[in-house]
Amino acid sequence: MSEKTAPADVPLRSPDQVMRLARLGSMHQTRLSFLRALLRRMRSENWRVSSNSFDLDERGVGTAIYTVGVGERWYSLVAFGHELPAEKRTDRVIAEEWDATFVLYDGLPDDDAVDRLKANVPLQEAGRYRESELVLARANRSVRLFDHVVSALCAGSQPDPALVESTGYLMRTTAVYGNGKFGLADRDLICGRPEFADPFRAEMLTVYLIRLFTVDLVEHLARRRGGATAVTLEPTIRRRFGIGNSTGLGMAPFLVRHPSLLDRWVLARETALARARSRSRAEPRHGRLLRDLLNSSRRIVGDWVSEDPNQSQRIARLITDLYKLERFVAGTLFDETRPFDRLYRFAEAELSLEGQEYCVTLLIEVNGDIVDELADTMAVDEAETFRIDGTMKCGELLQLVHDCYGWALAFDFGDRTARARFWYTSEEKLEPRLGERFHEPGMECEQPLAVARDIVAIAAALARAAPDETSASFLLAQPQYRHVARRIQIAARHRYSEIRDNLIDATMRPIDILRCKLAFFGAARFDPRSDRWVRITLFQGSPFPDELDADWDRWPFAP
Amino acid sequence: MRVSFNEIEMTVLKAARGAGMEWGLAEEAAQCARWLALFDLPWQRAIVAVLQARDWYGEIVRDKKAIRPVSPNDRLCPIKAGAFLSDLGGDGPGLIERVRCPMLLLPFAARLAGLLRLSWKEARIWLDSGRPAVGGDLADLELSYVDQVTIEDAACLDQPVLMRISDPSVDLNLWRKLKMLEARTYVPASLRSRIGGAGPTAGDND
Repeated sequence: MSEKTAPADVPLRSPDQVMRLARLGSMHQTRLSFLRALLRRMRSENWRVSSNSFDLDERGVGTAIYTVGVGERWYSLVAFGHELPAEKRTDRVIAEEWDATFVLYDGLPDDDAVDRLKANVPLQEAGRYRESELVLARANRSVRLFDHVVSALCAGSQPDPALVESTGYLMRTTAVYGNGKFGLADRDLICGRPEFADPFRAEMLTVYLIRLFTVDLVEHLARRRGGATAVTLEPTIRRRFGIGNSTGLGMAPFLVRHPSLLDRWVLARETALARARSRSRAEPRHGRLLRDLLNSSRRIVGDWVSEDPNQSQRIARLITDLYKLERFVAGTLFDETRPFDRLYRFAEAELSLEGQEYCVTLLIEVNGDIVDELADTMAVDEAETFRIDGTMKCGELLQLVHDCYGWALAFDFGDRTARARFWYTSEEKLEPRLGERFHEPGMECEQPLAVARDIVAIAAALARAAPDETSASFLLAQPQYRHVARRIQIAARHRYSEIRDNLIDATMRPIDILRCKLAFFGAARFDPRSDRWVRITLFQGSPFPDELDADWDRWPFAP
Repeated sequence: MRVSFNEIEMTVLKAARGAGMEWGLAEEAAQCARWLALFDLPWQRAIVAVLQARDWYGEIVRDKKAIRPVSPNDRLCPIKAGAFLSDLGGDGPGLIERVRCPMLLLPFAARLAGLLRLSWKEARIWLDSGRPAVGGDLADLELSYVDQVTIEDAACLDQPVLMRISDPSVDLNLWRKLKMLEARTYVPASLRSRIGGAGPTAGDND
């Protein structure tokens, strides 16, 4: 039996270990992350990306269209450049104007379609969209770097590499919407297409094309302003521009609301780790590769800057962890059996959570040949897990609570700090928010995200019910437990479906949830701006469409 | 107005919650609306009527053959009754009595296996592995109340199954009613929530 098909001997890590916020909030991108899987597909299927029109003035105001050919289908990024006064530049969702706005169009838009988009896309949430529009997004300039780059190119020189590295992007997206928002196409409409079957592929493609737009834009502005003296970006510097992203609480509830999907994501990652750890022997190339990756990781992590004191400490500790890993790898590790398992166990014993999860990223990276296919297992049809099996007896349901939610039953919700917060949706911007239960109004509008508390409540109710009563009749009489009964039955079949922490605790850090989701997207350089707001970089170092055939596969570790 | 299925689902979820439904039932209402919209069945008027009637607080009694409201003056909420049917799988009763907007039972019955026929008054609806076929008197499909709905196994389809649509649209008046219910789930900003905020502590001009 080949290694690829052999069952993993090392078991999956337990959900009690993996699904804690502290660990989820220490995750890093991997080969399975969505943007990396997207680029692999783009390369293997020879997607054809081209700039169709670029009609922007010297201020960057106008329209650009990029097209992507995927087999017989076409997609277009329609980009609108705007002039934005500094006082209106905010990354928060409450903004009403942006430096640029974008839509991913299903096909090739004709003039009428572009006119319609021009009337709506700049309005973002206030516009209306059709099923021909797949993704809506907007971005703001990193003003300092943007202006520096344009000035430098204008004067015939390259931008300062240190400045480029310290920011890492020319624009950062402040929202990327898909799946039917504001009339956009529903995911159901495109999930049957192989290129968009896996999660967030259309969104990732949009961001990748926005990145292309940002570097084309600075070159264009330099040309318009500098004329003959203007130069274009050197390819090595050009690749150092990723796309920034600012993300707040709006993203956090997603992972809680989609338990079976979260399970698929984590299961793929954990399966990849288990396969790597189960590899009986390493070949010399594995050792070389791992040492190379560790070498570049030291530089990458060294460039990772955060003003957040907590994150700064974690980064410093991660650098120490990387030295420890290097020393361990330099020994006789690769002469022994199951070297990757030994490496992982070393990490677990000796490193911080950041370091342990970075080690997971490295192990997955080195074992691409046996894990890449898992990127195609990360979608789920949630309709299949929606129906409650009401023939299940209350006694069985209670047993499932004890089997799957022991972690939740351990919390004491009599303690006010354990229920200090509540999730709600703000009337102002229709976005998720976290309130202080005992100090703010609105508790009656609490969203059903207090999973642990609701589990404790249903457990008490089930303990009072007759064990042979059907859950159908239990829920008929007590519908307040219905949403959580559904979760229990999902959790019984999806071990990684729940974040195993109290999401309304006074000390809960929402950015841990954000980071987990963003790591699955493929984000890097997490920079918390508060405990509920984080900046990240996407696609930094990745090849541009015309470079996808080069030696590109390990671009997150590229020098 | 053209909307997406996701907008229908999310709007009905929040409207149902805003009307006072428990979250788990509101989720059922949302899936119910989405399913009906998928087959271009007229879901809006029925959903609004059910959310305004708020029958889900009423108690339901079940015997071997039927479910019905305990009180003779009550009407069954089709979301609550439908969720019960769905929960029971194939073990559910064949009669549903005194139910409001019976069309809303269809998405729940559609989750049951096999070929089924639901009928009330002169309306006949078949469900073939979750896909509906409509026959009989179409005017009766949208009745706001019936004394009795029969669910039985069917031998064959008398009508072709409906095709799924991809561009649902809504009646704006009814949509606004849902949006008004939805608005009840939102919390207005308070001074403290603005201070605590969701945003960054530093500025964004960098």
